[in-house]
Amino acid sequence: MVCVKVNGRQEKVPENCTIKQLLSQKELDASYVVVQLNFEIIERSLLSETILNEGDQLEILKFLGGG
Amino acid sequence: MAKDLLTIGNSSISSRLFLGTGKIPLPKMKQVIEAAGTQVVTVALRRVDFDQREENILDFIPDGTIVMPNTSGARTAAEAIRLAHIARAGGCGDWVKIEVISDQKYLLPDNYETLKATEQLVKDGFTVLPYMSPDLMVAKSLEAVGAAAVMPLGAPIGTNRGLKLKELINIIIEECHVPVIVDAGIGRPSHAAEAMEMGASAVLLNTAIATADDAVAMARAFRLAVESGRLAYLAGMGGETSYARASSPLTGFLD
Repeated sequence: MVCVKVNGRQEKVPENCTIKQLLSQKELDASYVVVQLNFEIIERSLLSETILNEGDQLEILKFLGGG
Repeated sequence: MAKDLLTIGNSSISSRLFLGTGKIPLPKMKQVIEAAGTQVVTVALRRVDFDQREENILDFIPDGTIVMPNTSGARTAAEAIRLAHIARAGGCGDWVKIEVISDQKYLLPDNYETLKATEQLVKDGFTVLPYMSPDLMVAKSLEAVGAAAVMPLGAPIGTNRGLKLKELINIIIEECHVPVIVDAGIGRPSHAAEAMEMGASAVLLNTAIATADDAVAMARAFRLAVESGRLAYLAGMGGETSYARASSPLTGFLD
């Protein structure tokens, strides 16, 4: 397992886990969210090839109501 | 009469009522947007809450509506710039409402950080609409760095208190060339009409509609007020005088 930080929370994910797999495990539709990995935006098309490494910081964001 | 369109960036729009989507229940969203006749809505960007299953707000916004993410939550220019780029990657297009706030009591925008963020995001190809405290020199600076519009506040966010800063907004309308959109503080349709009568290009509001007992009916009320105020501005209002001026002829009276 590798330790990553997801939206400020420490989590453990399997070795070679991609961001897409993490989203699926959380039942999140990739087309609804925007992902930043270590302050870099990850294009949706690259989510399935981006592997999480020890110490990575992941931000998963979405749009909601706002003024 | 020629169609009265508002041009911002590369878009020409006919509705001068911009709507914030905060606090509007998703099942009602489409109805409220349609009743308001709005073509531009704002949304916010936040971390996904894994403990709560939430639907996607974008599914509740009618096709063809311009979605303008805001940078709420940003306290510095750097944070606003980061949020704007994340929002664009989310697929909502190039429009962004800059909102940089570190004052939690009155939620007043930080004009200095807002100007820095605007300058950078214009360079990055965004259509930038900054929310600002109504200061003429800042408005002119925002215009100079390429803001697509300036959005001075009428009163603090969510207060429904109307155009408390009217004199300052008037000066900006008079002196700036970019569209002036009154954002925040508008609580009643009469406030919206007043802003439009002054020559504002549009108004942006959220709380006044979202917290009404009947949000759909209130959206329609605001739509009519904005149209009415705009029409009055274009029609050219008569001047005020101190003393009475008879409307009926002062001749031909009976003996």
